[in-house]
Amino acid sequence: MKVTFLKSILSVSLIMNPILRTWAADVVAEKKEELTQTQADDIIKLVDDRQRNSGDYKSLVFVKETERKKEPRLFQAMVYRRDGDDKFMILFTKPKEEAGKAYLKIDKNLWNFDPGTGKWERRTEREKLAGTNSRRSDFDESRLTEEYATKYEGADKLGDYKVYKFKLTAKEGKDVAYPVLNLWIDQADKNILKREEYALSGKLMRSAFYPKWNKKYSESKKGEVWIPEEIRIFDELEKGNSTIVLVKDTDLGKLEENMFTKAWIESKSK
Amino acid sequence: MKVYFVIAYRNILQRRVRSLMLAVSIVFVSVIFSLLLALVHGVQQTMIANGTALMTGHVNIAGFYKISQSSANPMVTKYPELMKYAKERIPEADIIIDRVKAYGKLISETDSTMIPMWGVNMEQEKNVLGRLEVEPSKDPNNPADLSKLSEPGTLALFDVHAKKLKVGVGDMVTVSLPTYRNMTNTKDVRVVAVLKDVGMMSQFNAYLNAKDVRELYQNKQDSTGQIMVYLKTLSDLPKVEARMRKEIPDKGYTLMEKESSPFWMKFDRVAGESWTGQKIDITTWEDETSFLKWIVSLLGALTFILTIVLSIIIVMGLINALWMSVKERTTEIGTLRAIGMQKNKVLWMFLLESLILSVSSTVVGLVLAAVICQVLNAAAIPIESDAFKMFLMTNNLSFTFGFAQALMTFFSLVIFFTLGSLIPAFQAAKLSPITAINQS
Repeated sequence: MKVTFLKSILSVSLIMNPILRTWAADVVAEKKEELTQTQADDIIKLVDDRQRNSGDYKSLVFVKETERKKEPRLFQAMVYRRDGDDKFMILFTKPKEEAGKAYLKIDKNLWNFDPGTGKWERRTEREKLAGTNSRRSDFDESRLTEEYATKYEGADKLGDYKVYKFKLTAKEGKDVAYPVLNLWIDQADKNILKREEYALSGKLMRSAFYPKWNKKYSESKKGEVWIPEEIRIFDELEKGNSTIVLVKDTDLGKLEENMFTKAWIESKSK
Repeated sequence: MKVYFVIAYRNILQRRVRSLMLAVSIVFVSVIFSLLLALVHGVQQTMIANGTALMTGHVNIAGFYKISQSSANPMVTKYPELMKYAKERIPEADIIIDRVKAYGKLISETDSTMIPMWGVNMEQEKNVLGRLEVEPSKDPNNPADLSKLSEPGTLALFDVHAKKLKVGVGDMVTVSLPTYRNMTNTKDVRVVAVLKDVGMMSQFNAYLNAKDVRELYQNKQDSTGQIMVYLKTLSDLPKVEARMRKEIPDKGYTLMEKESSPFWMKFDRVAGESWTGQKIDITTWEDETSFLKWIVSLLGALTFILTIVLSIIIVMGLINALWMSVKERTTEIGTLRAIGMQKNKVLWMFLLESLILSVSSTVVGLVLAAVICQVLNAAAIPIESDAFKMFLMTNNLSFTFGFAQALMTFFSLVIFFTLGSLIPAFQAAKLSPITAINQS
């Protein structure tokens, strides 16, 4: 009886040993991953800096829009940015019925051009582009440090990736679409892997995943710029609606001087 | 005069069949014209009734508040002061209410729709929103009750949207919209009533509790969308509007320039202007529903074209009948001319014949049209086609045939037919006595 009992104890400890050791290792690891506020702020600043170009930017963008009960729609567009002057432009090239439509940001105004009517209309910053679930900010440079206050929420895991989880709250007076963000940042290369966007009411509005990042050398920055190559956006309010954005052929070289004008867009829309 | 009248009257009686056919034709045109006018007027009346229940007062104190130069928020800040002004200085007012404006997305389990919405205070709305018909609820545990809009977290929407969103009374819907500072906000609301559609206007309206809209936009309690003033007599409107335009600036408010379009058509213009702060916009029901004017104009144009075509056909018949009469009565004309009747008297004799015919037939037509309108209105014929419902802005055919429409029909038809008879009358008057007698 006594021998049997001892055997049982031994077998339990043999089974439990690796589990307990893994748990202990994780606890130690998590302890190591505790971040001070300064460290948390530095990581978010690093995320911004790694994506910041400060010069010109051009890329070919493919957008696949899936809405429930509708056929998926595919769009192709060229995105142009001059980050130094905070200028932005997106010119749709496909499908045929969207070709020539464009958005141009001049100062704080976002303008939309429809070649069908030949008219420019002022639009809000938060408007969904060409009816997709993507917004201008999805193609803009990252300004998290400037717009949000950071709170570290601990280490986490996203699939195989070890990540830091942050809760970002909009700073007073900042003009942002979502007052609260949750970010999951890859511990290894400090790229955003997941982003959740919340409304003022606290309701989750969108979840975005960034599975692929690409880096390019920027002459204007004299360093490398990280660009999300793929963004998968899920509408959490209208379940079933999603958007996939693919960013290709990014060019950080200098663009024509007179590009960010209504006249340039009109000439390209003909 | 009496002699000519008697001659004309006898001539009509003498050619009984021809006269009767002409009279029936004129009665027919008169009835058609009257019914079409009554329908256009009915649509106009429905538009006023629905428009003023759904989206506008007879006269409104609205406006825009600009946080920045490029913004345009359709709201009135510190509105209690203006409400006090309206109550004290507009004795012609019957009802004064305020509503908060909103524009956002309604999201159900299955679908979503972008829609302009109004935040209402139900205690003010008994005779305004309360006039609308409510669809009976399909769920016996959740009866439709529009008055429950007085509770926060509630929504009333039109059938067209309820069908799209596949929701009924008791179901939850999420309202999502950007605040005036462009932050996304949401609120879950419960459907308390589904309103019967009232044509095209149903597409542009849904109703929330005013507190919810303020909460969604993060607005202060002393802000609203517009103060809506309903007058006892609509004819007082120009006088009241002029007074408001004079007195409100005296109270320190800046007025926007008059533009006859609904508030949502002014966004671009206001956003393009460089001022910031509050400006007041005095608007009327005609301004706010001007985007629907084309329906009334189109119906008016169709009525006009149809009546003209029918009238031309009748006038041709009339000319032909009188022409034949002239031919048949050539000897009579020659004899009358030979014994001294002047040309203008001959002309008058023939004109009188046509005048008697058109006046009597048109009057009969008008009486018939009035009776038909009453019968049709009493029958409340439902419009089956959704397209027609949307176009005519009503669920039942409605005919409004008043004294003004009757007068208009009478004078237009009588003048038109009398003018048409001038040609054969002139022809008769031109006949020389010798030729006329010889022709016989």
